[in-house]
Amino acid sequence: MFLVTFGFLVFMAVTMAVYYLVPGKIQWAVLLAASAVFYFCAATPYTVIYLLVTIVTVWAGSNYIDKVREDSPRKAKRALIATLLVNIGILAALKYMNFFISNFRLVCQLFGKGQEIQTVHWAASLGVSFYTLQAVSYLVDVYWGTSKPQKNLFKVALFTAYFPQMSSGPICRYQEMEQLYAPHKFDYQKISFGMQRMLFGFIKKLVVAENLAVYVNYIFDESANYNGMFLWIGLFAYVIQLYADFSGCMDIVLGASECFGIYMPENFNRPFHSRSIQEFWKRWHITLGSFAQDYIMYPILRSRAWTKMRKNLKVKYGKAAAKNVPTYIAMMILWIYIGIWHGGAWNYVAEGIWFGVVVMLGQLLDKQLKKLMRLLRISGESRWWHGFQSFRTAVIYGVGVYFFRASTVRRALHYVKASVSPKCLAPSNFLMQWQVFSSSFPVKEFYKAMLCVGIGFFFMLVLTWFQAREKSFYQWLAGRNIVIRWGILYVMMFTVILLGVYGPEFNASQFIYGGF
Amino acid sequence: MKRMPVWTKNLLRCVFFFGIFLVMLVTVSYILRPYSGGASRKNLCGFYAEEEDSLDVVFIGSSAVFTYWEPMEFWKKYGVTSYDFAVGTMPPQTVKYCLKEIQKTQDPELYVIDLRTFNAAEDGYYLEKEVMNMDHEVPLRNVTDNVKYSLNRFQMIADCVPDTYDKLSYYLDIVKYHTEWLRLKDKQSLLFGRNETHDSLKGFKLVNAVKPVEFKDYSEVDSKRELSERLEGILYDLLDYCREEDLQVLFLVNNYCQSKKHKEMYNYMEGIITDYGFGFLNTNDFYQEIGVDFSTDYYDKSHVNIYGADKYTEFVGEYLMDHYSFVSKAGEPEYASWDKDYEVWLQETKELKESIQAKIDAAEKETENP
Repeated sequence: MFLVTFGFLVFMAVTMAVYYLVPGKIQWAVLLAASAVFYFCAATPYTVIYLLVTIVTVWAGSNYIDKVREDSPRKAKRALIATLLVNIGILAALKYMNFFISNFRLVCQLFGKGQEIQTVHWAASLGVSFYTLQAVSYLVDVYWGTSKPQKNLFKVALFTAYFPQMSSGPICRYQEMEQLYAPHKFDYQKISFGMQRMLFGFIKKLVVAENLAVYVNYIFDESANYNGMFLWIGLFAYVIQLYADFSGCMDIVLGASECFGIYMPENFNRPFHSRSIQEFWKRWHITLGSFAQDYIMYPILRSRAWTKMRKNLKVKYGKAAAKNVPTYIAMMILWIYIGIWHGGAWNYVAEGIWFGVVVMLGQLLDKQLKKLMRLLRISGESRWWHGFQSFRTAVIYGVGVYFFRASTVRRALHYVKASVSPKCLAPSNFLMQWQVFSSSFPVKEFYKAMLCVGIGFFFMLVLTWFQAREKSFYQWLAGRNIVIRWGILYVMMFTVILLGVYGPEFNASQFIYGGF
Repeated sequence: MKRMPVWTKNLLRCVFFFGIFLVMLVTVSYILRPYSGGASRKNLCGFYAEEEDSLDVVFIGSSAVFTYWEPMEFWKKYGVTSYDFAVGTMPPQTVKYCLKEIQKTQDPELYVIDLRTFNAAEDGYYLEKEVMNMDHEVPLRNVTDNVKYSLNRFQMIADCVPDTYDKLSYYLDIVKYHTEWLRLKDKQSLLFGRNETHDSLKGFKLVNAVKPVEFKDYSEVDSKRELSERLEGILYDLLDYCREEDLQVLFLVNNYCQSKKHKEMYNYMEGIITDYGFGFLNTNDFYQEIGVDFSTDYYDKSHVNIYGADKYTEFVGEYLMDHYSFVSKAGEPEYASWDKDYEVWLQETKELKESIQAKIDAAEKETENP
C-alpha cells in the first residue's frame, strides 16, 4: 500500500474512524493493527520475518540491558553489542551484501580467482534502513539510561513499525514517540491541519516531483548527449525533484500522523536557505543527520581510541592538531556513513566523502574567508550575501547529487566534467542541445509539465514564505472566512487531481527515498 | 435558542465540504471524459437528456444499432418514441447493466437488444487493424466511461472489468483522463458537465460513406453452432434478468454480410431466446423484403449507410408495429420537441444523402468510363 495511492487514503479514513471510536487506552493497539495491515500489504511476506526479528530482539535486549545495566555494566554492554549485531547484521545483509560480494570478487579477481562468486537477490525489507536506526537509537538510549525500556512487546512493535513512517522515515527517538501510547481525543482542527499537510505533500510529490521526473530522467538517461548549461539545468531540476519528492513524502507522513494526534520530528527546514553545506545538512533529512551525530560521531569522539589519539597528537603536533584531526576523522566517518546509508555502492561513498571534504574545508578556511570578507567590506548579514551563500550551497549540494543520481562514480565524474568544461558551457552549445532536445522530446508535453511544475512550485513557495516567518499556513487559513478557506483548499485539491502525474499511464510512483 | 454542539457543527462542515468537492469532482470528471466526435459519448449523454418515461422503445447495442435504427423516421411515421442506447463495440457482458441504466429513467414498452454484440465478442472487435476481445479496455470503456456515476456503474465495473486491470481508473475515470484538460479548448467538452446533452438524432450516427459489398445468402441455413461457455453464460444471465424484471424484449440481428458461422450462432441463440419466451428477429433472412441494394446501402460489410438505414428502419418499424402495441404520441404538446428534432434530422440527412449520392454517381461514372 503506497502513500500516494487512493488505497492509502481509504486505509487512513478507516483507521482514523476506528482509532477515534475505541477507548483512548487501546488506541495504540488500533495503530499497531493498522501498521500490521499496512506492512502485510506493502511488503513481501518473508520480509515480515526481518521486522519481527528486530521487534523481538529489541524488546528482549532493551529489557535485559535495563535489568543488568547498573549491577553488571559489562553484561549490559555485551547484550547491547549482541542486539546491535543482530539488527545491523540484518540491515547489512539485506542492503550491503552485494556491495561486499562485488568488491570481494574484484579483490579476488586481482589474484585470478573469484569468477564463480555470484551476487545474491535478497529482497530488502520495507523501511529496513529507517526502523533499524530507530531500534539502534532506542537500544543505545536504554543502555545510556536516557530512556526507560518498554515492557510491552506490542508497544515496542508499534514504535518499530508505526505505519506512516515505514517507507521513508523520519527516524524517530523513543522519547519522541512515547506519545504513540497516550490516548488522543478527536480534535477537528488537528485532523484538518494534518489533512491539509498531506495535501501539500501530494502537490509536492505528484505535481512538482513527478512532472519534473519525466524531464530529469530524459536528461540523465541521455547524458551522453547533454552537457554544459543543459546539464546544470537538468541538475537543478533534479535537486528540486528530490526536495519536492522527499519533503512531499514527509508532509504526507507527518500529516497522516497528525491525524492521529501524533507529532513526529520534522525532517526538513527550508534547506535551500542554508548559508553552508554544514547548515544544509542540519535542515535536510534532519533526523538522519542528528542520528549520525548522536550515535556515531559523538560516541567516536568520546571513545578511548580518540582520547588516546588526541593525547598523542598534542604531544607531537600541538593543541590545534589534537583538537582538529580527531574531529575531522570522526566527521569523515559520519559523512561516509551518511553516504553509504543511501545504498551499497561506491557512488554513495563518494557522495559522503564530497560533503565531508566540503564541510572540512569550510571549517579550515573559515578564518581566512572572514578576513577576506572584511577586506572586501562584505557584510555577512547582507541579503545579497545570504543569497550568494544559499546559491553556493545549492551548487555544492548539486555536485554531490551527481554522485547520488549516477549509477557509478565514473558516471558522476563524467557529469561533473561535462558541466564545467568551458567548451560545453558556450551559449551556442546550449542552443544546439536545445535543438536536439526539442527534436527528440515532445516539447508540447514538456511545456505542459513545466506549467504544472510552476503551479505546484507556487504552493511550495507559499508554504516556505510562511515557514520563513515562523507562521503556520494552516493557522492562517483557519482564520479566513469559509469562502476563501474552502476555495483555497478546493484549488489545492484540484491542483493535485488535474496536474498530478498518476493513473494508468503512470508507473513510476516510487518515492526516491522509499528505496532506502 | 440552543446552540448546536461543536461536534455536530464540525460533522456538518465535513459533510458540506466533501459534498461540494464530490459534486465538483464528478462535474470535472464528466467534462474530461474523451469526446472525439464519436457516437458513444454523444449517444449516452443524449439518452440522459431525454425526459423521464418518455421513450417507448430503446435499442441497446453497438454500432450495429446506431447506424441502423433511425428513431426520428420511426417517430415521424408512427408517433412512437425510440432511442439508440448504443456505443461502439459494446461488450455483451455490459448489456444487462445498460438495461438497468435505462430502467432508472425510462420505462419503455419494448427493449430491442442487438445480438451482434455476441458474435462480435466471439470474433473480436476490429479497430484500426487491431483485434480486441470483449475484455479489451476500449470496448469496456466505451460503456463505463460514458455512463453516469452510480451504484449500477460500480457493479458493472466490478463484474465486467477483469480484476487484473487498474479498476480504480474505471470506477473513477478522472484517474485516467485527468491530464486531458489541455483538450478543453474545444468547448464541446464543457457541454458534458452533467453527462447530459440533447441529441436531436436520438443516438443515430450519420456516416458519410458508401461501399458496395458482397452478400451471400445463408437464410436457409438451419444448423446451429454453440456459443463459448462464457458467452452462453452471459446470454442466460441477461435472459434471466429480463424475465425477473418482466421486460418485453426483442433480440434482433441487423442485416449485414453475415457469415455462415454467424448465422449458425444466431440459430443457436434463437433457440435459447424463444425458449424464454422473448422475441427474436434475424433481418438477414428478410433482405429481399427490406429491399437491400448491396451496391449503395452499405459503407462497409458490417454497417449500412443512411440509405440502408432508411430501408431497415421501415422494415423493422413495421415489424414492431405489427407485433407490439404502442400508443402514438404524435401531436401531444409534451412531445413537441420531437417534431423540432425531426426538422434537424431532415436537414442533416438531406445533406448527408446528397453527399452520398454524389459519391455513388461518381463511382458509377468511373465504372462507365474507367
